Amino acid sequence: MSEAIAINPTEEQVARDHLAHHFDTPQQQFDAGTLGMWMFLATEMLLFSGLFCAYAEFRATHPDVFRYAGQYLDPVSGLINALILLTSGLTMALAVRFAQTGKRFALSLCLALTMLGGVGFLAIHAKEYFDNGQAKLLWGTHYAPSVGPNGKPVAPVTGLTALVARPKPAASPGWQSLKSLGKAGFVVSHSAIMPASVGPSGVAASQKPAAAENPFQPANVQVFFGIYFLMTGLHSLHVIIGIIVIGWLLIRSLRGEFGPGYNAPVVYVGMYWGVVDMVWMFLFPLLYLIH
Amino acid sequence: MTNIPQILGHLGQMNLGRIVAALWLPHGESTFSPPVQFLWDFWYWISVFFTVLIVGLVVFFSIRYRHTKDRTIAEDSPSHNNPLEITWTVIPLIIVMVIFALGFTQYMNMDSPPANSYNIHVIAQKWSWTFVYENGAISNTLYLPVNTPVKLNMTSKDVLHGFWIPDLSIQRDVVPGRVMTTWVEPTNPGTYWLQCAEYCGDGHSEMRAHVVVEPYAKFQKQIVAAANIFEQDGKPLPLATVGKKLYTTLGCLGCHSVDGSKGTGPSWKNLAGSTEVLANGKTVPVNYAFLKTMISHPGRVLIKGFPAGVMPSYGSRFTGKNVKNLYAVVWYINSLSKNSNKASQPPVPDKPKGSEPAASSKSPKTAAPATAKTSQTATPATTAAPTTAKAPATPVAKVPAGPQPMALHVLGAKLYKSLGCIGCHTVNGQPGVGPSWKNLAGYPQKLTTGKTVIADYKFLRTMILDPGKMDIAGSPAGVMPVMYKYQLSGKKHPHENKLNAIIWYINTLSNRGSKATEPPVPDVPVAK
Amino acid sequence: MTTITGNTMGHTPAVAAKPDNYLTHGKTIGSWLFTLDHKRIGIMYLITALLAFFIGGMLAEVIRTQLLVPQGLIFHGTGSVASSYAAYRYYNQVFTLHGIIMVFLVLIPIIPGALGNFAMPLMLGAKDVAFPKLNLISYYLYLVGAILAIVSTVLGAVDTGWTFYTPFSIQTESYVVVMVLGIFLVGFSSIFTGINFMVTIHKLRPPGMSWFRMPLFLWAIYSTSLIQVAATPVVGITFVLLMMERVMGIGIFNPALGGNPVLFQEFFWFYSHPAVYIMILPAMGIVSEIIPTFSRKHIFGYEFIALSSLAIALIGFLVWGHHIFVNGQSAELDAVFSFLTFIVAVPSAIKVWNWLATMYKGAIVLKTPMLYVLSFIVLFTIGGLTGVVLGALSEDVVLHDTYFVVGHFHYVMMGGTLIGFIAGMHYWWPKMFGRMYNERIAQWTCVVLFIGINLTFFPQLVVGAEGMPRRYASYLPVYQPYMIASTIGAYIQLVAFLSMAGYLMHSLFYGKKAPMNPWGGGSLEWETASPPPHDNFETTPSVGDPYDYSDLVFDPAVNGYVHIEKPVESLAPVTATH
Repeated sequence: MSEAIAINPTEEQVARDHLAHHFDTPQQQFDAGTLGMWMFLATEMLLFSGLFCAYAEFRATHPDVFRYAGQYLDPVSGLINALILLTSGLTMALAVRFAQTGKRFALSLCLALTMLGGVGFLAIHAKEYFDNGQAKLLWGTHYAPSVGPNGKPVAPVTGLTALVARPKPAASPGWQSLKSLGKAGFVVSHSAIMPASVGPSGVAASQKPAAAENPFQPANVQVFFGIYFLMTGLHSLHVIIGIIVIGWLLIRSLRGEFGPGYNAPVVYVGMYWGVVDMVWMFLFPLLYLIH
Repeated sequence: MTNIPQILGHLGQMNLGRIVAALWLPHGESTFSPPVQFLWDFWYWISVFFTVLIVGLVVFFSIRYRHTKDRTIAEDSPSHNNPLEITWTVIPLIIVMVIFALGFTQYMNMDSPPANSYNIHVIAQKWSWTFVYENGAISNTLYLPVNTPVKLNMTSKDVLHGFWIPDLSIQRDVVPGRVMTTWVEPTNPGTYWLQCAEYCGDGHSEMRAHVVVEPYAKFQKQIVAAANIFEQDGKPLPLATVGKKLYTTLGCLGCHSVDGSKGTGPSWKNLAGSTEVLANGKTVPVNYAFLKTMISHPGRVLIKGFPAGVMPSYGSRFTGKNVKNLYAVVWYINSLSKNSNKASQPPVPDKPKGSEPAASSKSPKTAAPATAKTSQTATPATTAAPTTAKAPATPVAKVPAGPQPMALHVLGAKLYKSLGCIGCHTVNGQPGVGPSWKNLAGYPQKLTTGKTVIADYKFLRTMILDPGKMDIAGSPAGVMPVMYKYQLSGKKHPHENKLNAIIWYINTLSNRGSKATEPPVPDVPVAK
Repeated sequence: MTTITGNTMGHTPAVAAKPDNYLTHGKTIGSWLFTLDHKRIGIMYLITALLAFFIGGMLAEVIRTQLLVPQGLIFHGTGSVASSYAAYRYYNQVFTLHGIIMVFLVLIPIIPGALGNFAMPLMLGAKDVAFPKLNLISYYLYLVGAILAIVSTVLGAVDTGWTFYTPFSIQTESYVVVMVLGIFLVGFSSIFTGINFMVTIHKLRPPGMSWFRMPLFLWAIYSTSLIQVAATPVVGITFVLLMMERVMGIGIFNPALGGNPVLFQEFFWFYSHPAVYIMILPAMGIVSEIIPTFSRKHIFGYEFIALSSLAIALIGFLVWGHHIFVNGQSAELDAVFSFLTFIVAVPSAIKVWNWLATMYKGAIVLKTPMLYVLSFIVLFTIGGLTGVVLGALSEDVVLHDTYFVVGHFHYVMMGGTLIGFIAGMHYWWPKMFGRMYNERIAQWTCVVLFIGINLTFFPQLVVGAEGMPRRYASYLPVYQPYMIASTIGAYIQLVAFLSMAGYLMHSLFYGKKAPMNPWGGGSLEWETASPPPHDNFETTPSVGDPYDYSDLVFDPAVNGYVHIEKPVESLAPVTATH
C-alpha cells in the first residue's frame, strides 16, 4: 500500500537507521515483519476458533438454551459496540495512511480517536457485564437469575437498553415469585445443576441448588453464559491490549518517530486492530441475535 | 519382594512360541474375536514382511556399499525415478486400504447390538464396577450368559472410565453424563478380566472385575439369587453382613479402609461412637445422625483433613425405600468400632443380642478388604447364621414376571431399576440426565421445538418407546436408548404390560395424576 | 572406516586467522542471557531441553522400577485397598510428570529449538532468523513454562496424565492450573518459533536458493512450523478453558455443569495429534540430511521427500479423531478418521523407501550420526507399522489404551524423534562446539542404546496386545515377565545415556578440534568455521545443490572435507578458500 509514496533522502536514512543487521534492505525487513504479523493474526483467529467450535457444538446440542438465554442480551449494546469498532477501524486505517504520508498531527489524532473508540467499547461492555453480575446471569454455579411469575426473567435485558428503558423494579423480587410459582404447583426445588459430589473440588460444600428454576426454563442455561463470557472476555482482553499498544504508538508518534521512512509498527498494529474489529463482527450476531 | 520361583512359573506358562506365531492377542471368546484375530494376523505378517525387508536392506546396503579405501565415492546411479516412486506409493496405499476396509466392516458390526439383546446396566465409579441386571440384581462380578447377545448400557458416576474385556474383544469409554453402549456375545464359558482402560485416578490400576460367562440356566439362577441382598437361601441376613456386602458393591472400599489405615476418606475402623473434628473446627460425636448425613448427603459437612467433593453422591441408594441400605451400612460401620453405642446405631435393630454373626463381623480380620476386593460378592459370604429376629421386608422380592399378580406400579418400580431408568431419572425431584419422574405426569413439559405439552399417557408412552421423536428442553437429545421399543412395544405384545407398569409407577410419583395420564389398563390386578 | 586418526589439529586457515567465534564473542553471563544470536539461543535450548530430558528420563526409570513387581515396588499399600490407592497416587504423579516433561518440554521443542535454531540460518546462509528478539522471547517463554511445570510439581504435583482429560482434571486435588499455565506458555513459545522460522525461510533465503534447492531439513522445519502455527493456538485456548474450569467453574467441559467432557478430547487431540508430527518431521529432516552425506551420494527422490513432509503436515490435521475411537463418537465419523489415518501413513513410507534408495550404491560411512540414522529407520519402521494396526477400527477397540499403544508411541517418539535428535546432535556437534567426540565410544553407545530401546518397548507391545492397560501402578502377575524385561531395557538405556553424557562432556574440554567440514556435508553450514563466527559467514557463501558431493574430498591435513576445483559445468561454485 505504500509503494507509491516517494521517499526523500532523509527518510531513506531513517529507514536505514531502523534496518536490523541481518536484513539486506528495508523492504525485505518490512515484508518479513508483515508476513510474520499475518501469521500471528492467523494464530489469533485460531485461538478464537476453539471457542467458535465450542459455541457450535453447544448450540447444536442445546438449541433451546441458546434461544432462551439470548433474550437476556441486549442487541442494541452489541450493535452500538459494532459501530464503535467499525469507526475505530476506520480511524486506525487512516492512521496508517497518515503515518506513511508523514502527516504527524493527523496520525496522532487518529490514534487518539482509535483509543477512544476502544475505551468506549469497553465501557459499554463493562456496563453489560455489570448488569449480568447484578442479575446473576453468570456461568456455572453462579448462574442464579430471578424469574418472574410467568417464568420470564425479571430483568430481561442488560446493557444500554436497561439504562434507557429500565424495566419497572420487579414488584415481586426473587423469593416471592418463587412462592407464587410454588402456589401454582410447580416444583421450585428443581435445580439446573447436579449435586455437589461431581463438581470441582473446593466448591462442593457451597454447591447448593443455584437457582430455583421454573418449568419454562431449559436446563443448562449456565453453559451459554460460560461461552458468552469466554468469547467476549477474550475479545475484550484483545481490545485492552490493543488500546495499550496504540497508546505506545501515540507516544512515539507525538515524539515524531513515524514517517514515510519508518512506519512499520503503525502498519502492524493497524492489522491487529482490524482483526480485533472483525472478531466482534462475528461475535455480535452469534451471541446477540439468536432468534 | 520378587518371588523368583513365581516368576519362573509365569515364564513357564508363557508360550514363547506364541510370540513367534503372531498370536499375541488373547484367544478371543466372543463372536467379535475371530474377525479381529484374522485382521491382526493379516497385519502381523505384512508387518513382519516389511520389517524384515527394511532391516535386511539397511544391513545389506551398509555392508555391501560400505565406504572403503577403494570405494570413496558413490557409484553412478540416478537420484530420482518416478515409476519407482509411484510403485512404492501405490503398494502401501493398497495394503492400508485393505486393512481399513476390514477394520471398518468389523467395527460397524460391533456398533449395532441385536434387538433381542439381554440388557445389563454397567455403573462405573472410582474405582469399582457395578452391574445391574434386568431383574434388579446387583453384583460386582459381571455375569454373562453364553451364546446370548448382551447389550451393556454404561454410565459413570464421576470421571471417564474404560470398559475393557480383552478376552471378549470389546472396549468402550464410559463418559459421565451419557449412556454409553456396547454389546457382546460370548462364545465360551469361563472367567475373564474386566479392566478399566481409561485413566481415572488413584485406584485406576485396581479397577478390575471378574467376568463370568456361564450357561444361560446357571446365569439365570445366579442373578435371581443375587437380586436379593438381604437374604441368602431364603433366610434373612444380619444387617451388618449386608452392610459389608454393600461396602464392596457400592465401592466404599476405594476410599475407606476398615483396618484404620489412611485413605482418601476416613477409615471406618473405630469410627462409630468416636468424635470427629470438622473443617470448621467444631468437634462432633459420630452418631447415627452424623453418619446418615455423611453417607446420604456428602459435602454437606466436611471433616477436617479430607478433601471436599470426592465422595460421590449415591442418590436414592440410601434414601426413601432404600433406607435399609443405610441401616445396613451404618450397622456395618458400628460392627467395626469398639466405641459403638446406642447413639451411633441405626434405629432398626440388627438382630437379637448375642448372636454369632455379630461377633464374627466385629472381628477386624474378616473385614480385610484385600480379600473383599476380589471376592465375588454376588455370592453372599457364608458367615450368615439363621436368626429368628424378623428382618425388615425386602424391597425387591422376585423376578418381576412372577406367577403372582402384583400391582402394576409395583412392577413399574422394579422395572425402573432393572431396565436402568434409574441411571438417568430420579424419583425424588433431583435432576439427572433425564427429567425426574417426580411430579412428571400431568405437568407441562417444554419441548425443544418451543411447544409446551402436558405429560399425559400418550406423551409418556411416546417418550419411552420412541425417545427421539420429541426432545424435552433441557435434557440432552439422543441420550435415552431406543432399545425400550423392542422390550416394551407392541399392542398385543406381552411387554405392553411392562410399559403400562412403568407409566403407572410414574403416575404414583406425581400429585397431578389423572385419567388422562394413567394407562388404559387398571393398576390393581383383576385377579384379586 | 576410521578417519579421525590424523594428528593435525583441525584448524582451518579461516579459524586460525580469526579465532573469535560465537562462543567467545561475548564472555559475560549477560551476553548469553540477552543474546539475540540464533546460535546461542539454540545452545540455551539444547541445555534446557537436555536438563528436562534428564528429569523426564529419571522419572521413566522410577516408573519402570515400580513395575518390577505386580503390586508395585516403590509405591504400594500397607495391606488395605485404601492405602494402596493412596500410594498409587504418587505413581500417577510420576507418569504424569514423565509424560508432560517428555512431550511438552523435550520432544516438541528440542529439534526446532536447539538444532533448528542453530542450523537453519546457517543452512540458509543467513545472518540470523527473521525476528531475533522474538526468538529470545520464545526461549524465555519456554524456560518460564518449564520452571512453572517444575514448580507445580514441588507444590503438590499433578496426577491427570499428560492428556489432562476432563472431568478428572477438573476434580483432582492437584496443581493442574500451574502446570497448565506452564504448558500454555511453552505453547506460545512454540507458536512464535514457528512464525519466526516460516518467515525466515520465506524471506531470508539467499539468491539462487529456490524452494526446491533448499536442504530437506529446511523443508521439514518449514512443515513443522506450519503445524506449530496452525495447531498450537487451539491447545492454547483449550488449556485456557481448563484453567477457567478450575478457577471459575466455567462449565464447558464439566458434565456436572452441563458441559461436554468429550469436547475437551476433540480439542486436545486436534493439537496433540499434529504435535506428533511436530516431533517426527524435523527428525525425518535430519535423517534426510545425514543419509546422503554419509552415503556420499545425492538424495534420492528429493521432491517426494520434500512434498511428503508437507503432505504429512496437512493430512495430519485431519486424523485427530483416531485417538478417541472408543469414546462414543459416531461410527461414521470414526470411519472417516480411520481412512485418513491410513492415508497419512503413506507419505512416511515414501520417505523410508527414498532413504533406502539413497543408500543404494552409495559409499556408506558408518560414523555415529549414520549409525543413529540406521537405528532410526529400523525403530521408526516398527513404530509406524504398529501404528497401522491401531488405525484399524476393530483392532483399536482391542488395543486402545493398552501397553501396545505405549510401546507404539515410544517406538515412534523415542526411536524416531529422540534418535533423530541424537543423530542430528552428533552431526552438528563439531559445528556447534568445534570439538570432535570419541567416535569409538559413541558408536558403541549407539549400539547399546538400540538394544536398550528394543528391550524396553518390544515387550510392551506384546504385553499390551495380551491385555495390560496403560497407566497401571499395579498389574496382574501374569504380565510380570514382560515388565521385568522392559525394566531391564530401561536400565540399559540409562547406561547408554550416561555414557553419551560422559563422552560429549569430555569432548567439550578435551575433544580434538573440529575441522570446518568433518563429514563432507554439502549444505551451507559446512562452508563456515567450526564453531561459526558471530555473524555466521565471513563472506556470503554461494548456493549450489546441497546434495552434490562430487567436489568434496577428504583432506587428512585438516582431518575434514575440502572443496576441489571442479570442472566448469559444475553447479556449485567453489567458495571456501584453503
